[in-house]
Amino acid sequence: MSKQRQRAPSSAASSRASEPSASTAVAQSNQEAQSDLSVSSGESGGWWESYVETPEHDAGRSKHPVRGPTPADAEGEDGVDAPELAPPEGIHRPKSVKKGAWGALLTKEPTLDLLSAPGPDASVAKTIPNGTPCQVVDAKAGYIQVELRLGGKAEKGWAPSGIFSDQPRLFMDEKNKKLQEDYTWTSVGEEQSTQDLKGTDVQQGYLGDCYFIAGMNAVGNANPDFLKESVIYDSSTGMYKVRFYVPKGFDRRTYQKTYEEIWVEVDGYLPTEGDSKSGAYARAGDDKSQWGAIMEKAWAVHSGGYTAMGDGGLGEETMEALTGNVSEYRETSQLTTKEVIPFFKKAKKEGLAIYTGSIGSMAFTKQTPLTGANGHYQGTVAQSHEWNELQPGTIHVTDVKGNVGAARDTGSPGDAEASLTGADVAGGTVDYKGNTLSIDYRKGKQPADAKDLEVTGEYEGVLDVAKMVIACHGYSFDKIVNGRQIQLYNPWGSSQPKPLTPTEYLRYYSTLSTVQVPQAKGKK
Amino acid sequence: MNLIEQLGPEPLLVRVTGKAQPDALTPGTVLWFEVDHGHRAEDGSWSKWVTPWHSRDDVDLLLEDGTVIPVRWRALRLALSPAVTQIFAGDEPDCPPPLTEWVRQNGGPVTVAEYALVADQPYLARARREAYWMPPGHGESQPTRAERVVVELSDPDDPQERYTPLFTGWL
Repeated sequence: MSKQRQRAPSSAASSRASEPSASTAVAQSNQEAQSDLSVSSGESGGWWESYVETPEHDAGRSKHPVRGPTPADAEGEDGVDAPELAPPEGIHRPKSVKKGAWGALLTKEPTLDLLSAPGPDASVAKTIPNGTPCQVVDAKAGYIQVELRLGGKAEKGWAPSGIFSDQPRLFMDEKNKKLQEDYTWTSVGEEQSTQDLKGTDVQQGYLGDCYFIAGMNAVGNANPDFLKESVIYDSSTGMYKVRFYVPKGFDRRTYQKTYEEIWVEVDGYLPTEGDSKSGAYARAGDDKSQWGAIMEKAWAVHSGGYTAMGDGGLGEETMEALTGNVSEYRETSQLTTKEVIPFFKKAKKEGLAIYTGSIGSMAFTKQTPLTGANGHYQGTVAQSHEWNELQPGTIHVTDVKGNVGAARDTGSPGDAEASLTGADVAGGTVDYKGNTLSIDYRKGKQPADAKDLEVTGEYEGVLDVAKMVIACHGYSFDKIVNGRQIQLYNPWGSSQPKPLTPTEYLRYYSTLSTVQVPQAKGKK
Repeated sequence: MNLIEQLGPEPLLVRVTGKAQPDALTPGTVLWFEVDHGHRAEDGSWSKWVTPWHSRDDVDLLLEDGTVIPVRWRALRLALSPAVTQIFAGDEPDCPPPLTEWVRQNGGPVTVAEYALVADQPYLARARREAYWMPPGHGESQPTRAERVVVELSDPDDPQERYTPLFTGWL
């Protein structure tokens, strides 16, 4: 095995490879978009070889052994020309790197060089920020080719495989094609303590996982000591282990469900936004500890990446995964106003975690915002909050005096605009985001007065401005206020709702989930 | 291409393929199952329930022209009738203990239902967008309205307005 000139900027010595702790049940890895063509390191002569191993590193000088996933030569040459490597300590390294794997290139320097070809003598193609998210697309002789985005463009380049750290795939939605380049994987530094953990610590970031953050907050609110035991920091490796309970089996005869306790291992690198180095997804609350973001990352690893988490989910699924107990779910419509406060009091007393979801939209009626004449009308539907938007597929325009037939919009959820249709309608459009509409009636058809036209429909956004209730959103229960109002907690950490009366609660919230949180083991 | 672009804007007849697995409540095999128990009204609506068990395997939609569209299970929204239902008052000798306990705590009767996707059966598929909100970003004052694309699957001979309990209340 020949030694190669170092290419990755680094000042520290590398260490000999070693096996990770065998106690970890599930290790950080990304589980999606990986090619079936790849071969795990355990297979001799496969596409990849396991570890970096250079003679001078046999002494294992580092306190934190570094495993270097090294691809074997694709043509089957003997040995691997692995460069000397000096990734930071405490990063998660895959046992084998698969094509399609998501992760980051991590060194101890602020930048690193992407090469134009595999090998130590290749020219520098691009200098990139340390921790840039990337995806593995090829490998050769100790090097991997990665794809990433820089400056709005897709870029490819080669780098020593030893500085690749597997990380869960970042969240990307249709509107955020450039998201990868906006983020970097950044170390959270020292151990993130759960010492002062409470159910309002974690704040949701740019990820559609209110169900997870609110579910986690609900469990933390019900029994912080139990949740504390879900995150363990291993100072010898710099890794975190996060406990989840996953469904293991279901006996149809006894109707019993069983869970398996798993520990997902992740490092302390989190996606951060650009230069701000602020957490992109879950963020620390008052205690400044990133334990919640660590748990979110572990769940992303378990679920197949942050993108999969962004598919949405259920608060009760989160609470079940955190507690190992089955969640109970109910429609709030089954509760009367008199039953609401006693329900929450009883649940709180029994140590239940409580999660609740708001409705998706609210109806507005009988607005007469249109102006115009001679069959041509237009106007803006007033909204109570600047965040609000009209709900596609719900808009109707009617003439209260019946001179023209009703019109309705043709939109579907997600549409930015759509047309208006109806027997007397010649044309018309609705701009849902701008809350505006215009309508033209057929020749000879028109209302007696523009004020006769009423618009009804539904809006989404802030359901109640005074109470600050956001539509289609998960909340955790915090406490009862003054014995007669419900204080919920918004996982954003901001835009907190005001205490709600039972009537308000039942008006704005449709679903309610509870789960029994076990005693902390240390408390037994 | 997203699912809306793949499926088109209109409902489409598809078949479902995927990993066959033992059914939860019957001896057969299915591609997807969901078991619920709780209070279910005659109109099929649930007011209080538990979903003790459901599949977690993704499925593929098979279009008439042979196109295969993979769908993550989390992007499914099922609007189906139960394939199996059973009602217990709670005191029957064959009532499983967890259901007896549920009736004791919540009142009876308790309905057990299973919803399933099975091979070789046509389903009506419709891609749609779901809106959700994310908090304001750093230095921003407004939250972000985002959307995800999901696929509703229903039985063309027995279309349901409601989603199955598992897919009710997703956020």
